[in-house]
Amino acid sequence: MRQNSMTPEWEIDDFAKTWLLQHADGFRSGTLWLATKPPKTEVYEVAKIYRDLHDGGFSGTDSAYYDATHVPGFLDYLKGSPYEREVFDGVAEMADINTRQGTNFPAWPKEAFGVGFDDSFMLGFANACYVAVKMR
Amino acid sequence: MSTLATLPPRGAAFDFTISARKLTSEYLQGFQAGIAWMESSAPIAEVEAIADFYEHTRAGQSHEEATHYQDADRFLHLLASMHAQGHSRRFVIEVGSEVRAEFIRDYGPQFLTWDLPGRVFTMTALDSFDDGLATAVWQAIRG
Repeated sequence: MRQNSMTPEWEIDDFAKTWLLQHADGFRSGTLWLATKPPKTEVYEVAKIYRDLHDGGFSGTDSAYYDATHVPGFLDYLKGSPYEREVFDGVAEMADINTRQGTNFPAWPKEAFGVGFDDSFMLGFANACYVAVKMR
Repeated sequence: MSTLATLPPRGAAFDFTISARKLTSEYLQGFQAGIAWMESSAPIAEVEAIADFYEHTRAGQSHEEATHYQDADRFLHLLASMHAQGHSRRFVIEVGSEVRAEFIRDYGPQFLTWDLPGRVFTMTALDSFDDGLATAVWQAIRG
């Protein structure tokens, strides 16, 4: 479509802008973490978070749960910040969910932490790892 | 290129090389340039076209590694914004017929029928700035 003075303009709303700025903040924070020479395995694991959730995952509104024992340095790095991850007993939690729902979902890792599709900062953080791993 | 399917040995530290720092920095610059562009009353048609570019070039898509020759006249606002933001070096406008002639010379006559617009510029997901720009736009559209 040719544009002219009558072309409708895109209006970025506050929600989208906040989302993008948080993503950029997370990305910046991710690059700072990468500069601390974290273990390679952790960088790859964190990059997977972006791979899993950048488009919301399977449902578009997924949360994903990861093994905290694989990324101790990453979790330490976030400690004390507003983005600190809560580590919980994924086996007990899923057993409880299955009991309440009458389902039979496989357990999460024993020491688990979660990231949601709407956690823009964390996705930005993981995106920095993804870009660094993919493009270097 | 590294892949996420192959994990490195345990214990090794991640070497955040100068080239990887440069690429992540360029990606973030692209991301921020995309936000600034969308804040500058960008035309919907251009925003949607950049989001489409992301859809077709994101990891795993068939055009992931292709260079896309975009019609400069369809992206006048984007180009003006990128030039105003100091990224003119990245958005060089070329004459379509001259690009086609170069391809014919370098790669053969199969490009004789290549239908290129009169004025073009390139975008590719392999360029981290372009990737960051397109990602920001796609995220904003996705809501």
